[in-house]
Amino acid sequence: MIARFERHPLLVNPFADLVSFEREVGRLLDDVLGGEGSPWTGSAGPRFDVAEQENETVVLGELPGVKKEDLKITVKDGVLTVSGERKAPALPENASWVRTESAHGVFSRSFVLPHAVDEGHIDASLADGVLKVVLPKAAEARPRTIAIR
Amino acid sequence: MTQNINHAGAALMRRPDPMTLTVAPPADIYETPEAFVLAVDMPGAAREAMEVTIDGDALVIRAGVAPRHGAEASVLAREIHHTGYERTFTLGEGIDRASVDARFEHGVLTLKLLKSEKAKPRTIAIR
Repeated sequence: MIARFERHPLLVNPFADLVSFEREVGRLLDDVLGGEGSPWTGSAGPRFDVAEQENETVVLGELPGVKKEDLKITVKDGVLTVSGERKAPALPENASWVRTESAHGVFSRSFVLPHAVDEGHIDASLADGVLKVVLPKAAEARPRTIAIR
Repeated sequence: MTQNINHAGAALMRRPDPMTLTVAPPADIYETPEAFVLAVDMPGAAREAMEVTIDGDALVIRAGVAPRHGAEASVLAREIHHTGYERTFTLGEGIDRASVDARFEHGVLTLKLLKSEKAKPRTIAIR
């Protein structure tokens, strides 16, 4: 079990610490700044899934209204970080808001990758408000079949 | 031990039908002199299964979401649970039900609902 924990830290404790830390910092900022700003400031930010397959790990994020040029994806020391901004919705001249429920503002989410990644072949795409980052496993992290002599 | 706790947690979290979970998507609405514009966040909504219907005063938006992960994948962390979107808005009398313009871009469905002629602001000329 301990070995498994070390292999897959995400499996046992997905983002509990990170998320609660972000929330606390967000709340602190809201308190200090008077609760102004974007809805994402005080929350954990946009939602993500992390799924591992045989040869790759896929990270999916819901980022409605976020444009490609406002997104930044980095991998460093086994941590994937997705950060960016959803611009506040624009209001045309002579228009007035009836209601605003969407979350916007800047966000940053980080994920500890469960295996070594072939960094040269990471693929990211953004379609219909969903970001998909495909992280192929490095050769040494791929499953191998051991022949029995 | 950890495994048992995880199993217990999973059992508690389970919904009656874990295969479908429809959520009401958040919407921004603004009003111009000619129209109401609704922008509804529906990331991942499948275009072919998207439905916008007007029935009397009810404007209903429905969409499904394609499966996010392959059958072989082991999901290490899941924050996205829903499998579809559904939300109903009530239309006022001043909206022209015949002319609704819909666009789906960056995961946001934008609907433009024109006001009926009599609901548009008029400038009254002073004699």
